[in-house]
Formats: sequence, C-alpha cells, structure tokens
Amino acid sequence: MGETTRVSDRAVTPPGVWPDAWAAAAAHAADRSCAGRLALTFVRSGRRTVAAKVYSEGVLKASPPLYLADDGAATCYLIHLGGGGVAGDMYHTRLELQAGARAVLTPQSATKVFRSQRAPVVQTTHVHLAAESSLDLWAEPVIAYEGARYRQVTEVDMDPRATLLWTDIFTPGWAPDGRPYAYDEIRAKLVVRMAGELVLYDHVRLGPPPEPALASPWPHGIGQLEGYSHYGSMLVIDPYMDETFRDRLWEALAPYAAHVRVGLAALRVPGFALRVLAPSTPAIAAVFQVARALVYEAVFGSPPAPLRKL
Amino acid sequence: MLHEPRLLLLLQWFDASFPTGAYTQSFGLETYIQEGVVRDGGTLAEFVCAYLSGPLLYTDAIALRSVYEWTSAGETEHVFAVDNLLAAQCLPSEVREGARRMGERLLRLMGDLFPEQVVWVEYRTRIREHAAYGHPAVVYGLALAQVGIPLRQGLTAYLFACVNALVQNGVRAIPLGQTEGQRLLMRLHSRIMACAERALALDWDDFGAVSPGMELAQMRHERLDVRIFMS
Repeated sequence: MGETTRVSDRAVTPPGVWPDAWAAAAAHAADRSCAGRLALTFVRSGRRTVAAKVYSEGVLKASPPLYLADDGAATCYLIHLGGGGVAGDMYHTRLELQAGARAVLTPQSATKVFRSQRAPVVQTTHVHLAAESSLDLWAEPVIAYEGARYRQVTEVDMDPRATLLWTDIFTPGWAPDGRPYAYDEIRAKLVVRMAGELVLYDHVRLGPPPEPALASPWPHGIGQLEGYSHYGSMLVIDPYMDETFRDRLWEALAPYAAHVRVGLAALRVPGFALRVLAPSTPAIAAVFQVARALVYEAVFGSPPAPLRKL
Repeated sequence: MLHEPRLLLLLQWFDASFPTGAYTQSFGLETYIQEGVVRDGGTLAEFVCAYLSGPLLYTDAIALRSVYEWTSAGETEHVFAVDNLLAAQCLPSEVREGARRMGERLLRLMGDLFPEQVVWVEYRTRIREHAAYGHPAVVYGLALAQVGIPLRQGLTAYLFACVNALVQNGVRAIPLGQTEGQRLLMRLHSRIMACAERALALDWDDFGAVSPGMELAQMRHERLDVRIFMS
C-alpha cells in the first residue's frame, strides 16, 4: 500500500535548500530574456476542456487543442521552432489545469541539445493541478549531443484528487558512423508538492562522474546505465494507483524483460515511478504505452487516444 | 586530533555492533548478487564503489553535513526539512522504509544514551505525528554536532560504517572469506576519504542525484522471489 500522506504545517524551507539554485536561477532568467516561454491554462467547459489562456514567446508554441476521443480531453502539441538548444538557452513553461480539466500534452518532436559547455541548456516547468484535473505529459526524447549539458527542473503543485502522468526520455545523440555521442551531463529534477506538502523530490543525473577521484574504475558497470544507452522515467500519481494496480502493471511488463531493464516503485502517496533502461527510444515507448493504457483503464475507464505526429 | 573521549564515542557509534540494523539492509546489493552480477571480491568492490560515489555521497553525506551545520547553528527546523527531503528523494520503497527503520532505532538508542539532549524526544514526537520520517544520516548528523565531533571526522566515520556494513553483507551473501572482506575494505580507505572531502564541497543543488542503475536494482529487489535482506 502507498504510505499515508503526511499532513503537517511545520514544514519549513531552509535557505539554500529550497527553492534550489537552479530553479531560482531559471526563475530569475524567466523574468528577463528567455529563448522560449509558454503558458497554458486549461479549464473545464461543459464536457470539454478548453485552453482558456495561451501565451507563447520565442521558440516555444502550442497547437490549438485537438479532441482525439470523445472524452473531452484537450490534446495540445508542444512545438519548438528552433533546431535545438544551445549553450545558455533557457526555456520556461507554465501549465495550469483548473478543476476538472483534462489535458494531454506532447512535444511534436524530440528536443535536441547541442554542445553547451559554457552554460547548460535549462528547461523549467511549473505545473498546477486543481482538484479532479488530470495532466498526461507524453514525452518525446531529449537527445543530448556531444558536449551537451542539460538541466531540467519540473515543479508540480497538485491537489490530492488530481491525476498526474509524467514521462521523460533521455538519450545520447548518434555520430554519423553510428557511435553514441558522449554528452557531458543530463540532470533532471521533478518535485511534487501535494496540498503544499513535499511528496516527491526526484533527481536523476546521467553522464560521466564529475569528480575524477571518485570515478569508478568500471565506468560502464554497476550503478550507471549498465550497458544501456537510453533512460526513461514515468511517474503517475492518482488515488487509484494502489498495490494491486502495481502488481498488475508489473505482470504486464514481464514480456519486455528481455530487451529492457525495468524498475517499479510505490511512492509515498498513491502512485508509482517506473524506470526503464533500454537500447532505444521505441523500446522505452513500448513499455510506457503498456503502463499508460493500464493507467487510463483504471483512472478514466477508457483507452488513451492514439497521438498523431508528423 | 580527536581527544580520547570523542574518539571513543566515534568508535562506539560507528562500530558494526552498534545496533542500527544495517546488517539487514543490502540497498540493492542482493539484486545484483541474485542476477550473478556481483559474484566475487572484484564485483563486490565495483558495487561498493558505485554505492559510495552515488547514493552515499549525493544523498547521505550531503544530508549529514547539512544537519550537522544547521544543528551547530541552532536551526533545528532546517534539520527536519532535511529529514523530509530525504524521504521525498528516495523512490525505492524498501530503501526508504529501511532508512526509516534504521533512523528510528538509532533515535531510540540515542535518546537512551543521551537523555539530557532534548532533540531526540522532539524528533521521535515528530515521527509519531507524521511530521518527520527518520533517517540515520539525520540522527548521526545531530549526534555528531551535539557532542562537538568535527564534521570531517564524523562524516568519514559515517561513510566508513556504511561501507563496512555493505562489505560485511556481501561477505555473508556471496559468500567471501573474512580476509578478503578486510582487504577490500582497506582498498576503499582512500575512496572513503575522497568522498568525505567531496561532500564538504558539494551544494544543495547536487542533493539526491540518483545513479539510474543503482536505483533500478533497489526497486527490483522487492520483486525478487527469495530475499535474505530487507532491501
């Protein structure tokens, strides 16, 4: 069973702990110039969810909502007009779902991150989910090329009755001769607060160890990507995600065991984290599709509409 | 140099027989042993190095250091914020639960050994009221700061105790000879010191950075058929 959500009014914010330096830096940059900025507000209008406010600036845009099934959910494609991120680029996205709104968001294509040793490419996202709202963010891979540094900070503030389905895929770019490029570092933080209480602080770091003295003599061995090149993470928070559901999901994933390495964990609130190490993006997407279909069945009682992409 | 009374405290707290329950936790090692990845001294060393420069450095060491610094500065509220962050950061549920059990056990023990220190009662009360979770790095950070053991030495001893417990668990589970275990431990001395040094230079930004393979092995542990460890 998921552990009980802790309710406390005592939680404090130590200086330097919270908000952390990246988020603060990104917020600061967001006040000034930004390579791209996007803000979307979804509201429930009758049976449908509509985009009540759309603001975009720079290279980030969103498609008008599409209704791919008759469940009223708004599907928007997130569009990056540039060719990819370069050193120092900041992107900021704000997503707000008001009570009862349902949105499916997905990038139209992969995000490319190029050489960025001078300053990392930073993507920050703030998400606010009101009661009975649901956000399904279906990822396209972030592809990190040679010398790339990428940092992603996602902060979610959600009502305990909201549903969050969030995915991330990180992959190396490939050289013309087929060898994987060596990116410098990918770091992603996903922070979830429920009714103001910190419930998840997920921080993953990919790339060669930053300190030579501590570098493992076995850089491709235990603990890191363990021979795989691609990393995927799916996080689902919803009151229906209990132990029975996780057992069912684990069984459904058994057929994929030969190609990918999968880990599944219960969160402190009803929900799960699913991690995948794989040799390719389609291998991760296949696992995520199985999980997403089961989540939809349990939460909405209907399958997800296929996402059409160019 | 530590004066003898503090040196003895350090030896006692971080002795393998100090009842923390560490011998019941493998922190993912058992997954690797069952999968045949860790099978001898060399592969055990590989796991322990990865654990040391991964979770121990980025999570335990940064947390212990912060707790120590904030305790010394009288900022007890911040100490409990670290406790909360540790529980939110750890996704593999068995590891989270393992740290909580070890933390609570240590907390009771410290409360019995140092009844004049009020923080132990306060920490336990918060856990009972679900306002705190429990983690050995927080308890040790508090304890070290309260008796005034220098941070570098305390942190080094903490890391040594964690590594020692893992090596001993590996020696029992693989199994290996006692001498081989001790030889491995000695080879890790310089790495433990480098790790403590590095932890003093890292920042909150680095807190909780997870090594993906390690975390996955910890998650997979709860799905193993036969388990001798709790994580």
